[in-house]
Amino acid sequence: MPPVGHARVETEYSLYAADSFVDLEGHEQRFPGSLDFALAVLRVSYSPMRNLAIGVEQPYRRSTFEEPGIEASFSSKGIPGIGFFIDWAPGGDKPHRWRPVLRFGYVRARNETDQVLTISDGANRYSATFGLDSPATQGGQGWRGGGTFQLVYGPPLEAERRYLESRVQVEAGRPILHVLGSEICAFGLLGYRSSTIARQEGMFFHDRTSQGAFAGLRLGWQPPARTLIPSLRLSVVKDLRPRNALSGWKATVSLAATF
Amino acid sequence: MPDTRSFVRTVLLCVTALLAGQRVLAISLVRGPYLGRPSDSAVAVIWNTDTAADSRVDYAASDGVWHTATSPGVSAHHVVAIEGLPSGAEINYRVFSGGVELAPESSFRAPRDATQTRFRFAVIGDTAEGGSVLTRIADRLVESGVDFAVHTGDVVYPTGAQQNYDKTFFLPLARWLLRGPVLSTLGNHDVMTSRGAAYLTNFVVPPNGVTRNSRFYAIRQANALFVCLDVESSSYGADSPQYHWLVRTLATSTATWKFVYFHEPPYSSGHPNHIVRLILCPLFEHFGVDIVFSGHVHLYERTWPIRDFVPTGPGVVYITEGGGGSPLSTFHQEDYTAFVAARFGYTEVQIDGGTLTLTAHDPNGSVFDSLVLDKPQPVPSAGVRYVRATRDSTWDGDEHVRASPPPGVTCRAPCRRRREPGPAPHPQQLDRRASRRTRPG
Repeated sequence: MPPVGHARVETEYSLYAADSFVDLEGHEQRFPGSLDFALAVLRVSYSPMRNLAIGVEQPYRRSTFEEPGIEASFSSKGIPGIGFFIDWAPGGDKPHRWRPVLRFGYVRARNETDQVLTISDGANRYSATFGLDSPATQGGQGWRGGGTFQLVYGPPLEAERRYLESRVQVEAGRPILHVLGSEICAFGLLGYRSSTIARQEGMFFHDRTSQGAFAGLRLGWQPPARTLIPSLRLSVVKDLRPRNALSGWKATVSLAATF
Repeated sequence: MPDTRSFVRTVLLCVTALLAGQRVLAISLVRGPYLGRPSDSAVAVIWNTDTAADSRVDYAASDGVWHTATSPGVSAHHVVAIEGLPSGAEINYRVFSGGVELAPESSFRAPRDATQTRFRFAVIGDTAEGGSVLTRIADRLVESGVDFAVHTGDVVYPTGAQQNYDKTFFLPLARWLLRGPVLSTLGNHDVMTSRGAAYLTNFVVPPNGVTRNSRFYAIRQANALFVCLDVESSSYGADSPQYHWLVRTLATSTATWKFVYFHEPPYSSGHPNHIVRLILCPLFEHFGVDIVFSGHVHLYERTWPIRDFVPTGPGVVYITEGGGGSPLSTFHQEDYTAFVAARFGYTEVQIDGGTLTLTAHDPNGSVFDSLVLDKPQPVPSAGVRYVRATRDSTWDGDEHVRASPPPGVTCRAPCRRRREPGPAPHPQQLDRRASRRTRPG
């Protein structure tokens, strides 16, 4: 969250390579070619008062499917919607051991179209995310950790059921390198998600419950304090035991700077 | 003494004969007879009795010479396979167990070999609740004289349990089942009990040579190949036995016409299965499948020919036939839809060499959609060349939509629109598109 009167700009680019779809019974349907979902998100937030920030996020998605063996390919790209959020940090900028942040968000989804790969599932969403992370201690050498818990709600669309998703993620790590006032931290992360309907990567797969765990690694580079150089995060996450969900790898790069 | 021994022996013989006679007389039919297809050229006659007994079928072609086929052992579930029938001939048959004729004489059409190029078949689907709709459809199938019926799955509700088969499937369809086999595929409801154990027991279809149970199989009839896939209880991903079997089956087929059927439709104005679409549809296009039949959504729908996931001209036609009697679904027409109607009914396909005529019928037999595909001879490598969509012969006011053909698709006969699609919908309307669909069964 940016300091009062400041803005924070964050760009995030992720590539999700889906190897297969796993149904509720655990049957894995492996894709014959490559199925990739690229998502770029620009988030801008501004803090007009202490403990509070308001922001907007603009995603852009490109989905591609290629099966070279039989020369089948398809791709679609575009803006899947727009999101707005409010961040509230109850602890303010006091030096707490844990820094909690609560984010309330709303995403307005773009039209649903039944192409082979849609960039939007057509469902608007409300979300509440509670995040905790620990600041550097012991001179920046100690362990640190954090976590998020997110609830997502999509209003029912007449004959369809409402959409509910919960997601929890925890991570822990420690600095592995300090260079010229900057630091690189390595984290291990673990999470679990569950939803009432299988909606993933802008696609609607099935109207039955969907769930799965995930685990991965994250590297974070924090530039020296009081510079305009953006911080950098790299993460790689693998799906574990998905049910009625895609299974694959996701790599994410994000840059964030406060102005 | 000899007289006494003789008397005792006589009494024992009488008692034994009486008991045996009572046992024979007690045998009664509890299901069937109905028909299956254990191979391209064979027919299976199937019936259930209340007690275990032997199995015998007497059959005769038009020459009037009666032959006998039996199966070894005794059982309450009888399956007698008949081989070597004259191609396409009308065969009369009678079934016996314990020496008792269990049903009136009936007849079926023998399988057609590859030299024949004319035949008809029907497609039914989602018969899950049976009832009067299914009974009327059975009557129409008998009247139409189709060789067999393809079933697009969800044979019985709610969980595919054996105890529901008689009431909701065998009894409503009984009149047809005497005369033609049902070549079925597993629906999502059919596999809810013991992964479809009852279904696998009840239907006799060819082995696939890959798995112990024929959850997926192929059968050749005349100049056409019929491929049944299981997308409900078997893996169909690129590394699955079913996928590799499908590739081999389609690649090695020399049939003029290729049809594939499975339960959940990859293209639908209800709920399409995008996973099936991504994994299997490119194969259908590559190997020149002509029509894919599915069910799951309780309506009738026909797409424009689709290639590379879009309706651009030559390609595969996708038919959803789910109007077998379960409550009808609502829908919102997609861009690839040529015709969609929330109506009960069945589909009939007539093959005449390189010409295919498909007609969609309501349970009274009235035609509400039709399609003609012409295929130049000899067999081209892939796809459908021409599409002729003809207008309804009747109209009873049910909701349905017929769209204009996409660029590149020839529509020789007038493609009359029942309800104009109108201008492009407002984004907010499209936002709620999914809401107008009911979840399929």
